[in-house]
Amino acid sequence: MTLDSKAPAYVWTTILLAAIVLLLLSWAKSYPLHQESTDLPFLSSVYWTYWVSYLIFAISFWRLATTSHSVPVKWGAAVGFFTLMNSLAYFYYYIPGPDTFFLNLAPAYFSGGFINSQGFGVYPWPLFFLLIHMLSEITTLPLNLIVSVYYFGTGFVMVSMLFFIVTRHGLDGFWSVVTFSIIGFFFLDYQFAPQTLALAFVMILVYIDYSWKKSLAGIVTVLTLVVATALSHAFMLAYFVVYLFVRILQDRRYWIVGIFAITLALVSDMFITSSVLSGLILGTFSSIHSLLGFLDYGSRITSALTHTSPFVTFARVTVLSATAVSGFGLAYLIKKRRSLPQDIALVSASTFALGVGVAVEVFGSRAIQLTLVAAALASGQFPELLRTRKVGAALLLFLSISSIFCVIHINYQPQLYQSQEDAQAAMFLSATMELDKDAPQPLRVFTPYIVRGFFGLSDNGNASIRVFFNFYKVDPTSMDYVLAPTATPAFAGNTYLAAKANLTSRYDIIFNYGDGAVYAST
Amino acid sequence: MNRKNGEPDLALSQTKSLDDQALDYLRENGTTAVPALLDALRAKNPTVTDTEVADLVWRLAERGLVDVEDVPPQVRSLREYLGLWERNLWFYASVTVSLITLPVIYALPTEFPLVVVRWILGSVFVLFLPGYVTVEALFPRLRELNPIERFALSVGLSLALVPLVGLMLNYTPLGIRLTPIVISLTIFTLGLAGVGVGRRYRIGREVRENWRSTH
Repeated sequence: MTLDSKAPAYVWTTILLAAIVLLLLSWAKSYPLHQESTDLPFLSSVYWTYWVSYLIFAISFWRLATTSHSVPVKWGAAVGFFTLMNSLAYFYYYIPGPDTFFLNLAPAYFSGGFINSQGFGVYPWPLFFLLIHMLSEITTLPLNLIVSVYYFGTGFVMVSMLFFIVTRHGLDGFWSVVTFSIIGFFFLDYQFAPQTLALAFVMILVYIDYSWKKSLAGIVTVLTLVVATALSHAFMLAYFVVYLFVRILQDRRYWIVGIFAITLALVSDMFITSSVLSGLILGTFSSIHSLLGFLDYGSRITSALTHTSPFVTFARVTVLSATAVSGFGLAYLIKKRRSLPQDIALVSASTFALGVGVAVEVFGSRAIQLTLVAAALASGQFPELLRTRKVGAALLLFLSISSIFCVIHINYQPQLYQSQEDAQAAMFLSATMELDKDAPQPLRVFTPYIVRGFFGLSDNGNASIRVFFNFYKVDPTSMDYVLAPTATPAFAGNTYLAAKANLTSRYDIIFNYGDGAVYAST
Repeated sequence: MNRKNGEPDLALSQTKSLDDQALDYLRENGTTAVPALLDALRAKNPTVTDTEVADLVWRLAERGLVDVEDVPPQVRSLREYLGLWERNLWFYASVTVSLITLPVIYALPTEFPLVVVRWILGSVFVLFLPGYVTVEALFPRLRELNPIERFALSVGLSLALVPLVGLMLNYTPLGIRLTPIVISLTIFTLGLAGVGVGRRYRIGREVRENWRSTH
């Protein structure tokens, strides 16, 4: 299979090999990314060859997708594009996903030798922790590499399922994956690790429904995935319940009703039997009157608009273009009455989730991701709206290349990622800090790095976990604790120094890292 | 492979002519073997490759325009069926990788660079094989899923199934430790690989009998 009918295959092969070399070179020069100061542009520490290789890959994937007739080649290009857009994440010591919060929680989770679903807010979602734990035991991979494997795996599953659904319609899957990758780049928050895993499962379930051939094997697969989703993140399964409900209204065959009943029973059981979840759900709905979700959306949008860099503007244009492609695709589907019952169910469930999310913040942040799936599917229709294939190919090339601005946009949202220093700082606190029971929760901890995450502590194997929140670019004196690498000669051998804030210029040292706790005052 | 009548032709415009040629050939000749179709298409289109025809067949099958059936050679027993190496390559590969992973986990040093072997085989053992053998056991007919769907679904199902095995271990006295994890995943993989090969053997016999009765 030649990449281009006009150019010899070896030309494109050479170009691709050059891109791989440039990418590997940039990784070798830049990994792990860190920044000396929060005032410096973060991406200045990424070696320049990364950006060159990014553009070559983007153009190559576009070329493969538009010239090849082979479905596996198109699928490979689609998976490659999604991976490319998220490739910078692999330059970080810990990539988005199971951040420090989850990394520290996992050992504590198993230290008691038994899973206590009543123990902590995320304990009802054991599947993610089990997966990481088992992979760690078998492979002995360092946690940061396990995170990379997990991150790639969930992304691979999501994009593949999206591609299969669209191509089963006889449409162009690459379009859908490109729009999904571009819009999802800002809304698919891998920090919600269990939820992202559950989203991947929901996408497999939707794919099975789209390509359903009623059989015992299919029902077994669906039920297995329903159980797995329930144990990964029940909010996602709640979305699937809504989806199935719409499907029942369309098609009342017994197997849909049966799966709906089982799914509903599982979700209900999760929420009713878990005191943590029932407390969460009651608390969530009691906050409807304050329109937290609406305010949250509003604050996100207004804060995003404060950036004036040209790169941010280009990123906005790219995302808006991808959104427009999805919108036109959806309108075309509806106008031509070509939508399948599954399309309608997906759009209805996403609209419902988005509606609830406007009022309830905890659902709202998830609803956008769910809506993304429906939007990306609809964008597969877009090429049919265009008069010529050339216009479509040109627009697709524009989206593929300009996706680089979305990646550069990270420069303005650095808190989504974690450097080695961030991870070490959080690990240090988790390993050494002891808190009394009266400590405020969550504790507010300032680090000079770029982390925005959580980390947990185990109370000697008890289920109780203390949650911290790291703040970025805030006044350290307003925090409960401050964490910094020690520059004091007396502590030169120590990695970090934790100090109590609420003081003006001098900190009370409460302990140091190394020979044990030291209590002193500066 | 045979054509279904009355189905609309939704072929993409760029592949329409080749698809139509294939459908015309099937309309004229009825059920036929894929190599015969390849020869017929190549007679009119000398540049067409094996891969393109294979993709074409999958594409037509996915859209319900043709039925694709894998007709295995005649065998008298499961043991004889297992002797068909090429046909059961997936089974032998799954079993071999599973069994090789065991000494790698327990005997190989955990220092770099040898530990890389454990990283790679261990990842395949956890993130691919359990789902792959499950897919093979649940969907033994080749036409049910195409190869890339099979591959992606294998990863997805592994992500779902492996932790469920761990959850069951959690409720046993063994706990979620290395040896119980290795043993349970090995039993799971080998067991479902066995189920898969058994189902393929049974389905193969049925297909063979149907094929003989109609030819």
